[in-house]
Amino acid sequence: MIDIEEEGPARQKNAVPERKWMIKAADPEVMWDGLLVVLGAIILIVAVATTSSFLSTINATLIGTNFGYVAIMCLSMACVILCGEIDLSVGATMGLSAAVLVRVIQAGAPGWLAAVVALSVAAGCGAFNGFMISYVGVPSLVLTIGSLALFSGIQQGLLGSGSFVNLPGWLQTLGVANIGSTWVPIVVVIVVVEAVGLVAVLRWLRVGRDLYSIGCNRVAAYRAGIRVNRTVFWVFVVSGLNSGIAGLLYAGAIASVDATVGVNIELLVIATVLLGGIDSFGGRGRVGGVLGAIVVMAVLTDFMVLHEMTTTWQSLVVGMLLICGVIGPAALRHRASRLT
Amino acid sequence: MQGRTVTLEAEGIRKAFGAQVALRDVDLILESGSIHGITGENGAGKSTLINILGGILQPDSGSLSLSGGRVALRDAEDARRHGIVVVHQEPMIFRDLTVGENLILGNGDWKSRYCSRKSIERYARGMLADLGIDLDPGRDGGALTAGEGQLVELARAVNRGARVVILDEPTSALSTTESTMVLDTTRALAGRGVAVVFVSHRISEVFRVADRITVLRDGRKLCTERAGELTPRDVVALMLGRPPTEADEGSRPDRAGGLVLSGRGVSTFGGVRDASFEVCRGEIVGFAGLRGAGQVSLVEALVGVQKMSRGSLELRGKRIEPRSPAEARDLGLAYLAEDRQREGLFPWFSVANNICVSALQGSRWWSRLRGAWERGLAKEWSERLDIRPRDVDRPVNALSGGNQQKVLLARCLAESPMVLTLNNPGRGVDVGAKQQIYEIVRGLRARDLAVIVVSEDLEELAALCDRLYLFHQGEVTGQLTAPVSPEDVALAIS
Amino acid sequence: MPIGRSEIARRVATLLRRNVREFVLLVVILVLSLLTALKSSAFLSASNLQGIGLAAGMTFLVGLGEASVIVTRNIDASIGSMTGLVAYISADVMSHHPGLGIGGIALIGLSLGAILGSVNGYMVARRGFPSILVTLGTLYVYVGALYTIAGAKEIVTTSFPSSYQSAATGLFGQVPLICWYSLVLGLAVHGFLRYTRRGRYWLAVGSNPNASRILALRPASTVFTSYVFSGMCCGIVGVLWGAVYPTVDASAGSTVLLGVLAAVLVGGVSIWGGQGSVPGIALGAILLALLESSLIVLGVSPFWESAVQGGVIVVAISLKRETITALQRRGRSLRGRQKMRGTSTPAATS
Repeated sequence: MIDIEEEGPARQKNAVPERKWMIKAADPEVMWDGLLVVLGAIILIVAVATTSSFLSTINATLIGTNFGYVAIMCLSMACVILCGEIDLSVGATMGLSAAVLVRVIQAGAPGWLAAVVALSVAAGCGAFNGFMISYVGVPSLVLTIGSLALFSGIQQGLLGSGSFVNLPGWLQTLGVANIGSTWVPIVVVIVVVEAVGLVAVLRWLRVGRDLYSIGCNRVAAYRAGIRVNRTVFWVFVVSGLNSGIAGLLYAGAIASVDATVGVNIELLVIATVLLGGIDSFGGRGRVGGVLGAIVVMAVLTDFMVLHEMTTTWQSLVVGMLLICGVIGPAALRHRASRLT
Repeated sequence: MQGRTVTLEAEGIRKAFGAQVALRDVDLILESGSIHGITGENGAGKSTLINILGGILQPDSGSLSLSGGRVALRDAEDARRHGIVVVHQEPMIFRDLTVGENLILGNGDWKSRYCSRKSIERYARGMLADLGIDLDPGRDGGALTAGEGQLVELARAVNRGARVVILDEPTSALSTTESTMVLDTTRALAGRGVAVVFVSHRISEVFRVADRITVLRDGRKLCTERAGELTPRDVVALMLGRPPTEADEGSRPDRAGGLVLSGRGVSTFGGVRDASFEVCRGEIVGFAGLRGAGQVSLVEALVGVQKMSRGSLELRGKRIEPRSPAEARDLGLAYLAEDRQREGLFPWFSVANNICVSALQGSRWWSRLRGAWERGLAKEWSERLDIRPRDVDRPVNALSGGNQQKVLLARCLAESPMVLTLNNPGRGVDVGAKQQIYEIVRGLRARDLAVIVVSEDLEELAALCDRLYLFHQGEVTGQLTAPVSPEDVALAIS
Repeated sequence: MPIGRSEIARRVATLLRRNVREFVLLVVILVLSLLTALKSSAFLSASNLQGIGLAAGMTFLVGLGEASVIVTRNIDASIGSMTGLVAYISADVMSHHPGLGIGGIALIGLSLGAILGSVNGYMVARRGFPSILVTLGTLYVYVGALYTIAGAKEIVTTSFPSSYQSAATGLFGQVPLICWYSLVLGLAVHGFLRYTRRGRYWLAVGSNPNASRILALRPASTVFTSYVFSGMCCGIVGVLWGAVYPTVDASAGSTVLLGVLAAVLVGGVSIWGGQGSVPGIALGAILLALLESSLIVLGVSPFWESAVQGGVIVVAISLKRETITALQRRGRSLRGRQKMRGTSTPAATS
């Protein structure tokens, strides 16, 4: 018998819970995953139907190399959004680190040193963001718009209108080559490694749970003894660093760097993360969902490129998916809570 | 005295929320130009009554009449159109606008669309002078103190042509001087023919302004008398519902253990001044006072939420200065905050997660989480504190208030703290769970914990504490030793 | 309190404090102009100053719309795409129907802007979605629409009737017409904010959205209107775009967002809402246009312009009064980053 008095907000699920799977299916998270799978399937079917040799290994490799650097940023963006913040400057950081790379090489330094400097700059950008957000108290939304402008501005200043092609060979290999003679690009391996690491952190380490806690209820997290400011700071540093890695990989893959590197990438990254089921207000979501969304988006962008949609058209599609990613889970959750 | 006309009359008001009856058959008569005080404990139904009078809630049965004619208030806006204005506890001030601009917002008799700074100031000056409020209309809203904000709200109510003004705990966050300002203005309001309802905990203030006083308990109106025919002690007795009692509580140790925590001359910015206290092992010490009297501030300084400006704290003989809740927890000071939703719970996390949230297994960020171990621990605590339902994987927001409180209590206790501080532990908790929690807290004595209880619930303090520190206007003004009755406490702190 | 010296001193202090930002901006503008003029006397030539005025005017007009949104504690990230879309469409219409004249085109542009803005307004005000995400979405949707319509085409506007061409750049007493439009619209908005009750409502909504709801100031319709107004401002500038630039293509409007945000934030509009003044926006627009010109004269590569704008935005955001007082308060109370609730000063013990 159910202890009515102590049961809290009366849930009319007193009715025999025979259809457990139905209840599970009505869970907004599961439902969203389902929708994502359906979306992916649709895209895949359409893609295969309208494009010749979409399912070839060549194409698969292409998908990997073209989306790999985006996937890396999605992983760290997931952490940022999980703890209730947002980082709009990832694209700019990515471009800036690529810019620093080529400039340092131009100044005569060896490739590896240039890479180190570039990554340090990227981490520094993240640290700047983290500092302003955690310790000065500027809301992340507003600040990262500003830092987006600042970083991309510096990128433009460093590069002017030129494009630089003097990139170290090893970087180009990293960006484009596959493992041995398989069709799997090295980039994909890097993504997988990072993803595994992220899953491990979120599931097994205390700091992973802290991210969720901070996103769920920042004040309660602070009161419970979580060092909120420090954690958020480092999340942004990691985000910056990842953007730097993405920038280097991109530079290696495209083999040239100019002022358009990283422009508008943040839209794609955020859309992918939200599509993957991470709640836009933080505190909810799983990396698995993000990985699924990465695959879906990767296939989608490949499809759009193969059909020669201009970047702006692509942005439109991504923009709409972003809005869906915001509204969708929220609407599902709202419906679920109203039904119970 | 002008002839008193009946402005607002409520008859037979009844309101229930699900199974919980908030108001039973409450009658009220408000006359123009008079101040009607309403008092009662938390949960007595004051807020519900205010919301009904103000149109925010609709009564299940009963009626409201304005100047003789029945009215049905659909919402707050409707009530406002009828001239009923509710002034809430937190003044709704627009910090980026001037005082004058704040005043004229929201209709009132400012007819024209045009308003320059000068004309606003002139108008506001007149309005404020009428009520005897000494504020410069050109001042920034953001520069106002809490008390001044209340005054602006009062003036604003008049500006909107209110005939009935309901004040909801207007002075609870204010100092004496500021409270006096508000009380004076309230009288001025009544002097203009407005019918004023003054709802407050602060019995002494109610006696200072009210012409008639109504006491509510458990949703019932106990009495309405002229102020002259009651004494504060009568009111307290009515509020609590029984004649002055002896607080018992059997197993009270006659001698507590050694000194665990002490504070000397502790002051915080704008909270408490020069407070000194001692807490021993195995005893429960209470900090009693009206809201804003400094006890919460002191406690927050203890747990690292507020910064101490002066003074020292010693834990087991060693000086401590917790600069964050994390540090406080490491030192062994656990805190159960007042506002569960805002400061304590992670709503969609499971019970187990809420109990074992962080500082638990190793305070390093790279510490491994052990799900099974956590769930085991959570189950243990769930048994010990009788948290229902027992399923520790349930999201905590599916639990009732009492069980949620127990979850947070488990979180505090799971770290084996040296000192446990509770802020209004019985707030929003149903009777059964409340008793359980009290039992648990009393049982902590035997386990050599030192417990500090901060509360506005007099019965709670009387039931739990061995000793009470009394706070008033930011200072410790005295001590009471058990057994105490709630009435003694009530009088001592007001 | 007696009205004495202390009262007068306080009034003056309030006046100064209230307008400190404008004074500082004015000083900075003058100093910068001076420095640049010393470096190169061509700086003070009529054509150069008119160019600055033109740029400032364009920024200012869109800035008015953006500011009206920001003041209500929201943001409109789609101003660039709205401007571009209207720019292209008006140029397109003009090239096919030159007979419509500037008036007809203006009508089309304004209506289009209003419609685009109302989409934002509906989503944010009526449905309550976060304004940044909504307007980011519409940013890309509108840009996509622009690309669909424009493709790779380019409309050359130099062949348009001169009445159209001079609508923005024509001079009236040595000052470009667009500056006069700015003046007129600026005065109107300023008058609205300062001298009407509804104007106060706008500031109130941003200052304390909760209170405005409770006091029935109808924040939702205010926010909606602000987005429509923003759209219309973009509409105006879009219409004038063809008059200012020799060609209009799918890239129109892409630089608007950053420049306008920088100008508006520098000009004192608080990102937290509730504060802002028209003179401030004007000075901000002038300063940024000036900066662009000065940087070139002073030998700084134009590619650093975005960096400067970005830096300006970051600094402007960080130095808000709120941030400073919040920092002060955090020094006193360790409440982490909670927003302080109503009470603002130490009440109990003073």
